[in-house]
Amino acid sequence: MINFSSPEFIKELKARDHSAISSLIRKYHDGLIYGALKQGLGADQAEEVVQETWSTFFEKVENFKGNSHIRTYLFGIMYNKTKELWRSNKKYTHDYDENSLDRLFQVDGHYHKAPKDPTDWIISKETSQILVQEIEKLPENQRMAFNLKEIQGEKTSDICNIMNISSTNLGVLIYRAKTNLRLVLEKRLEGDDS
Amino acid sequence: MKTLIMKLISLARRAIFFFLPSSVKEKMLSCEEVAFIIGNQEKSSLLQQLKLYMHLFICRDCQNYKDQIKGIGYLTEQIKSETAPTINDSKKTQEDLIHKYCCKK
Repeated sequence: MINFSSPEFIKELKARDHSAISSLIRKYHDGLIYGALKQGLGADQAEEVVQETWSTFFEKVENFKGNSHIRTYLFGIMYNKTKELWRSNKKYTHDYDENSLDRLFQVDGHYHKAPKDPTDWIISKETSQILVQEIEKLPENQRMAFNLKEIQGEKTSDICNIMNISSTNLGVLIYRAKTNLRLVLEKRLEGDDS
Repeated sequence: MKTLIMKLISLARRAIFFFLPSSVKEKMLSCEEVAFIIGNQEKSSLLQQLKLYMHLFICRDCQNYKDQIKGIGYLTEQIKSETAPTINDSKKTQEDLIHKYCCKK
């Protein structure tokens, strides 16, 4: 069993040891592709992002101090590459009214427009497809936080490291993502145009 | 019939809220605070949880919000459980990468 975060292993990686490099690539390559696909990228984009991730990883491995797990470091590079791709490709960027959440509550903390009873929401494959579409339209940071936390089930500490944010900020992003999603689901599932 | 019962329950809850002493009412959470706690699943203290349940018992809007978030949770589980995407030619790509980075130094 290889300890991928041991100083010896990192030393071997820096020395471009064949067995260390092959173990690392075999261990994490599919996971990286899967992670990129789960961020809503197409197969080609996911492949491209992961290729760039490995390239950056091996360029920067000399500076890797082992403060975080190598997996977190590697996935951090991949998620940053994903963000870069989102920004450079219009397909992955959407206009979003960031102020809509601030208008949800009155000054006294009560709802302006109360949430509707979701009993009639049908939990089906079609509905989950709607959710997937809406996740892809979320603002970049909310989308990434939601995907990492809720879809990929990453640990809070790892997400904070990857996204370079505090756990409080992550909480805010998750809250905003979920609230945005519930608002659009309410609109789309109940045909509310208001 | 179901809707009528729900409305009666909601009314009864509001009546309980009406008769609560104002010192208790002041210490209760607002809908915005409740939404934040439910939305980000932050771990809260026992007292905070008690306040949360008390608010949810009285407030139908926040109960609906909680149910909507729960619905999103179910849908997310469904997305998660969908079969993993197939990764083509992964073995070959891996071998190419190993070759590329081993011989690069």
